[in-house]
Amino acid sequence: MDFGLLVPAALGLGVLVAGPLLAHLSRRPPREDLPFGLMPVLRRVVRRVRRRRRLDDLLLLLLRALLVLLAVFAASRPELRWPTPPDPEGPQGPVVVLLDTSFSMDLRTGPSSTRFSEARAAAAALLRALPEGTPSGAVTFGGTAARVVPALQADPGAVAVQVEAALRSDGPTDLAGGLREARRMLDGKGGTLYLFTDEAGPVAVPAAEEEIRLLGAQGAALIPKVIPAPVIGNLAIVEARYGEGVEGGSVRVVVRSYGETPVEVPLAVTLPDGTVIRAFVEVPPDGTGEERVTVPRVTDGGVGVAQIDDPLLPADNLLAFHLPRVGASRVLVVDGDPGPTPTASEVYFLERALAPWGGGGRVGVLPEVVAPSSLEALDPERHRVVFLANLPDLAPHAARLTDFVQRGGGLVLSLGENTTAEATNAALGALLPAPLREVRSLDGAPTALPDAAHPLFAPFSRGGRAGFARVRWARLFTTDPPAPGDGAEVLLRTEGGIPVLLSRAVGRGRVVLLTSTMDLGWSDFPLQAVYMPFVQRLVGWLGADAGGNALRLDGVVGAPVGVPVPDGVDELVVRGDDGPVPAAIRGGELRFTPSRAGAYRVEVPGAPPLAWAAVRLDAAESDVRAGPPLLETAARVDPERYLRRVRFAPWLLGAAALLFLVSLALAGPRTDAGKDGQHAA
Amino acid sequence: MNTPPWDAAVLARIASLELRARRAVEGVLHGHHGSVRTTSALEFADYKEYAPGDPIKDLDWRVMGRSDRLVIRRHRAEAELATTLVLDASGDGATGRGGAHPRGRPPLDGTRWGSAVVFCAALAWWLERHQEPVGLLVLGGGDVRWSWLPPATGRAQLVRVLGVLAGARPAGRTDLGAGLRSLGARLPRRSVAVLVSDLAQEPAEWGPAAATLRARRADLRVVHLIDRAEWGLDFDRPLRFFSPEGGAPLPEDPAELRAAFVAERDAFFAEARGHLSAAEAGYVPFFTDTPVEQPLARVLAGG
Repeated sequence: MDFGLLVPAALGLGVLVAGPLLAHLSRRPPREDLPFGLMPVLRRVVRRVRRRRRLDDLLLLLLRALLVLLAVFAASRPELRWPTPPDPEGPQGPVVVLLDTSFSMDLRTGPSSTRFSEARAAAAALLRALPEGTPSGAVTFGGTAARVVPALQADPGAVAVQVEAALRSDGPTDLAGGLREARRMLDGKGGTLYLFTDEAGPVAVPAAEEEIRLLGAQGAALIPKVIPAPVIGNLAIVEARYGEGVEGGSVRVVVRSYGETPVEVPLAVTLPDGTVIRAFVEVPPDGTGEERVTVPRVTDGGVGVAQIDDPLLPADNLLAFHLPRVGASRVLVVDGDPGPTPTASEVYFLERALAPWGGGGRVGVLPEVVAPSSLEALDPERHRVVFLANLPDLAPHAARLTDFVQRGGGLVLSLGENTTAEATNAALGALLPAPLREVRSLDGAPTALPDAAHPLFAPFSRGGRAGFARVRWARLFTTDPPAPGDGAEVLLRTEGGIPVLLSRAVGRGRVVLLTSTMDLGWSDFPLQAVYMPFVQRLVGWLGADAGGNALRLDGVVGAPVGVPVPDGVDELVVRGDDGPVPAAIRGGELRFTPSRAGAYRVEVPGAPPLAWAAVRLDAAESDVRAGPPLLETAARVDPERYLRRVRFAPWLLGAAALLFLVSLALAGPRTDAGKDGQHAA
Repeated sequence: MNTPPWDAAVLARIASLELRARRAVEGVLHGHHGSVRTTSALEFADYKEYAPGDPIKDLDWRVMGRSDRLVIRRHRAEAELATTLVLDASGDGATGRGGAHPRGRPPLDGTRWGSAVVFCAALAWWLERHQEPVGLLVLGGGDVRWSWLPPATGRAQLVRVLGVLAGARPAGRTDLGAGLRSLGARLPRRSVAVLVSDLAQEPAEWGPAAATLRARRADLRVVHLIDRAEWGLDFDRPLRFFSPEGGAPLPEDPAELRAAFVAERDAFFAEARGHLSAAEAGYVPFFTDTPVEQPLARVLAGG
C-alpha cells in the first residue's frame, strides 16, 4: 500500500497552522477592574476550574490547529494506492495460464511437493474449472518460454492435461518471454493471464515490464498466483576457477548464501581425473564464503566439478570449472649438437634449467633428452612441449611436428651452427612465425625489456624483467617480418630491434622460435639468472595455458553454446554427464543447448576432446527469496489498470467540519453544569 | 488647632441616618410588633411605659384600670438584656452596587455599606425607643470614632451609636473570627448580639468563634448583607475581579463561571449556615436592594 499527494504544493499552506497558535498566544485578559465582595467564593471556583480550563484551552488550540492541518491536508488531495488485480471477480474472454518452470521452482514446499508441483496442480485446476468453450492456452517460461499448446483451444480440460505433463527445467525465469508468448497467443483479443510463479529473484520481474505494458495496451489482464514457500536459506556455488600459476595451483570456490544464518558447508572438488578433494566452506548470512583447494602437482586437464552439500535446490550445489593440464609437463628435448662432453652439449644448460635437481618429481617438468633420430618418439598424448635445439635437417620430421602442434603441442625451435635458413624454411615453413634469412654477427647486443603484459612474461612483471636486459647476443638469425593476421608475434628483441624470440599460434598449439642458440654458443643467455625461470615459464605457458588443451567454453543452462568446427571435420559428438546431447553443425559452428549444469565434452569420435564446456545454472535462480512483486511492478507500469486508489480528501473535510463544530462548542460559554448538580446535592 | 469632634458631613449623615432609621422602625411598627426580647422570666423588676411593639400580654391591666396608664411589667432578666450591634466594616463593604468609594463613604441608599449602616441605626433607634441597652462593636473599617460602645440606654447612647455609624467607612481587612472572639469577652451574659456582615470569609475561619458566643449564653443573630449582582455573578463582560481587602485579582469571564459560581456560593454559605446552626444563631439574609424593614422585622422576631 502506498500513500501519495496529488497536489503536494498545497502542503505549503501548512503555515496557516500558526494562525490558531498566534491567536492563542495573543489572548489578552480583561482590563476593567471590579471590587467584588465574594472573592473567597470566586477563588474557590477559579481554583477548581483552572486545571480543567487549561486543558480545555489546550484542547481547543489543538482542535483548531488540527482543523487547519486537516483542511490543508485535504487541499493537497491525498490518496491511498495499492496494487490489485484488474478483475479479481472472474475471467473475461480467453484465458492463458503461464507456468513458471524455472529452476527456482524446484524448492520444496512439503515432504512430497515443490513450488513447481503445486503451481502445476493449481494451474490445471484453474483450467478445469473454466466453463466449457472458454478459449484457453498455456505457456511455460523456465529457460526458454514455450507454448504448451500451439494456440488457444476451446477445451480447457485438454489444455489442463497438457499443463499437467509440463516438466520443470534448470533454466532461468524467462518471464518476459512467457508474457510475450501469451500475448501473441491472445492475438489482441484481450482476456486474462493467470501467472503461476514464485516471484523469486531480483531480475525476472523487472525484465518483464515492457511486456506487461504491451499486455495492458492489448486489453489483457494479468493476475499473479504466487506460490508461497517457507523462508529458506539456499546455498549455491557461484564461482569455481582454477588459479594462475606456472605449474600446479588451486581452485577458488565461492559459495553464496541466501539465508539469514551463518553455515559451514562441506565442499568436494572433483578433478577431471576423478580425484576428489574435500574441504569446508564457511559462509556468512546473505553473503559469500570462499575456499581455495590446492590441486595436485600432476593432474589431467579438462572440466572439474565443485560441489557442496545443501539440501535445497540440489542443482545449484555444483559448478563445473575448467582445469588446464597441471603438473609435470613431459618435455622432449632433441639435442642437435651433443658435443664431445656433456657440458659441450647444445642442451646442457636447457636440461639443467628444466630440471635443476635432476627431476624426480620435485619440479613440474620432466625433460626427456633424445637425439634427432629419436624424434619419432614424439607422442602428442604424452609430450606437451618439444625443444628442437640446433637440428640440421628437419624435413623428415616436418609432418610429425606439424601434427603435434596442430593438436595442441608446444614447439620451441632454437638455431645454431647446424641450422640453415633454406632447409629450415623449407621443412617448417608452415610452422615458423617468420621465415629465416641469415646469420648476423653482433657485438654483444643487449636485449630490450619484454612486454610485461604478455602472458609469457607476466610472472616477471613484479621482478626479474630487468634480467632480460643483461642478456647479450653475439649472433642471431634474422627473419622476415611476421605476416599480419598470421597469428605471429615478436616476444623479445635486441635493443636494435632484431627479433630474438617469436611466437605463432598454429592450430591448437603454438610454435616459439629462438633466433639464437640455447647454449653459450651465440649468447650469454644461459649464464643469466633469468634463464632458468624463463625456461620454466616457457614450458608452463606452452604446456598449460597457451596450448595443448581443448577449447574451454563456458555456458549457462538453457542458453545455446557454440563451438567452432575445424576444417575437414564433419562429425562431432557432445557428451554431458548424462550421455550424448543433441547438437547441430551450422555455418561452421556446432551448437547445442545444455539442459543441465555440468561438464560437456565436444569431440570427434575416437579422438581427444575438441572442446570442454563448463555449464552452470543462472545464478539469479539460486536466489529463491521473494523478488519484486509482480503486481507492484504491473501497477507501476500500468497504474490505470493495476492500481486501486482511494481519495480521502472529502473525509478529511468532513472531519475538519466536525472539528469546527466541536471547537465552537468548546469555545462557547462554559456553564460547568456538571459541577452544579454536585454542589446543589 | 484641635480637630472638631464632628465634621459637617458626618453631622448631615447622622441626620440622614436617623431619618432613615426612624422610617424603617415606623415601617416595622405598622406591620409587626415584635421585640428583640425572646425570653421571659418570672421575677418582677419594674414598670415601664408601653411603647408600640411591646407585647400586649405584658400590659399590667390592673395599673391601667387604676390609673388609666399603659405600663409594661418588666422582669429582672429582661431588664438586663442588652443588644450589641456588630458591624463588619471591612473593605469588602465598599463592594457591590454603587459601593466603589475607596476614599469616601458609600451612600446610604442602594449600597451594601449604606444598607448595613441604616440597618444598624434603625435597630439602635428601635432599642432606644424601647429603653433597652444598645451597644456597638465595629470590626475594622476606617474613621471609626469608637470601635466599641458598651451597651447602654438613653438618647445619648443612640447619638453616639449614630455618630459612629455615620462617620465610619469600610476599609482594610477584618478577621471576623477574631472579632467574634473579642465580642464574646465583652458581652454581658444573657445578651443579644446582632452581626451585620457580608460573611465573605471562609466559614471555617469564623464559624467556631460563633459557637463560643453561645457558650456565653449570648443570643447571636446574623444579618447577611447580599448584593444581588454579586450573588448571581450577574455581569455581562469579562472583568478583573479584586477584593478591596487585598489579594491577586482574577481576570475572568462571568458568563463562563456563572453556573459554577452559583453552585460554589451555595456550598459556601451552606457551610456558613451550618456553623451558625451549630451556634444556635439566627440567620437573616438581607438583599441590599430591598427595604431595611424586612430584615429588621425578622431580626426583631428572633432571626
